[in-house]
Amino acid sequence: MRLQEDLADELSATGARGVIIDITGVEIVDSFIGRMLTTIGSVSRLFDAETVIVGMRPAVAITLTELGLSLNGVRTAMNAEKGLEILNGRS
Amino acid sequence: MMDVGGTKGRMAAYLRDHHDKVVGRWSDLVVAGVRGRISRAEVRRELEDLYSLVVRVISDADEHARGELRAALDELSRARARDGFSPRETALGVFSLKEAVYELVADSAEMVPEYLLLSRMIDDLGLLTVEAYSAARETIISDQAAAMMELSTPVVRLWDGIIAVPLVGTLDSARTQLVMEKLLDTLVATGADHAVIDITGVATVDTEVAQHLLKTVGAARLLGADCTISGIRPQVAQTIVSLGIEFGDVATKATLADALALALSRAGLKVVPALWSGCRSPRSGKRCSSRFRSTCRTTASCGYRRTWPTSFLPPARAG
Repeated sequence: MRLQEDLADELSATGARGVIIDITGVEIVDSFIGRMLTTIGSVSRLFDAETVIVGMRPAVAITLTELGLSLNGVRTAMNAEKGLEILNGRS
Repeated sequence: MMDVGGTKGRMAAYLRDHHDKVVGRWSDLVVAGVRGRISRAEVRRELEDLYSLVVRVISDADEHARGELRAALDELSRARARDGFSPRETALGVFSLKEAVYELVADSAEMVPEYLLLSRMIDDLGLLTVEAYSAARETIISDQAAAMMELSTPVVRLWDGIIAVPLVGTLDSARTQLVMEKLLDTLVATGADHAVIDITGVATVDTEVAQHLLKTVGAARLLGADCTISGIRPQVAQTIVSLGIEFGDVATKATLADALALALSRAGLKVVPALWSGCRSPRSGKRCSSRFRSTCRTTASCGYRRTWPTSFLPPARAG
């Protein structure tokens, strides 16, 4: 929740065009986190910024799939480098 | 009241006295039973060991004998199971000791209680053999299943950044789970961002299998990898359509080659002949000096003729 609010403040202050969320360190997810990621994507879109989630672990991906969450509206990439490529290709 | 201790002692003494006769006859019976798959000498050696253990158990000489006999039988049954003998053949190996002894004592009426005692004991041992046999078989089967599981899910690297999973056989949830895990692990380990799932070897695709495939594709997408399904055969395509399965925006291709071409183009790669200087002048026999198609001077007017094998030629030279 804190992340969502900070991110919205930052986006409106800087007018950033892209958001990269690195979740390499996340080992366990639940439906709440899954929904939170989607919400962040939607909020960022309101500021015309695209969200890229990078560094997801296989176990996390399997869990999210089993939960039926496909993270619509959020791009994903292998690592931060590829995430930046996606954002650069867009702008 | 039967004199159990005395009966046992007498049976043990009898068996010890007739050692050679009984073991010889027993070996004959077993060798006939296994139909030449084990040599007589080997059978004889195995049975000598068992026989001496049986005698020790009957004579109550020491308390370890019973455990040793069980272990020896266990080992024997396992070996038989591994060598592909039937449970009947394995158990007969033990039961024929009864027959061997019976043939000897058949004439003497006073040996009946002793014989019954031995008979009861051998029945127990026979059951033990069957138990050990089936346990060994189950181990073999589960080992094979595990090995097959391992073999059936290779993840191969097609190109730098492109990996493929050729699936063969039937897909169930356990296998899908394994395929998914292996695919995702490989994606992360190699940093590949294109994956091809080839289902040429999957005989039937029903709603469940499709569900599993879509799950795998979804998980790969979450990692940021593009996933293509290839090798859909005509019958499978018919089934998928008639079942009303929607693959949504998942790219599907007829062959692995098509999927590779798609992945290459998505990665911004193009396949070109290594050398384009396959043209010779019909007059001087000189080679065209260009290395690439784009610089080749071979046009309708240049006088050089292509001698490049036609299969190597790229599609018709569009404008």
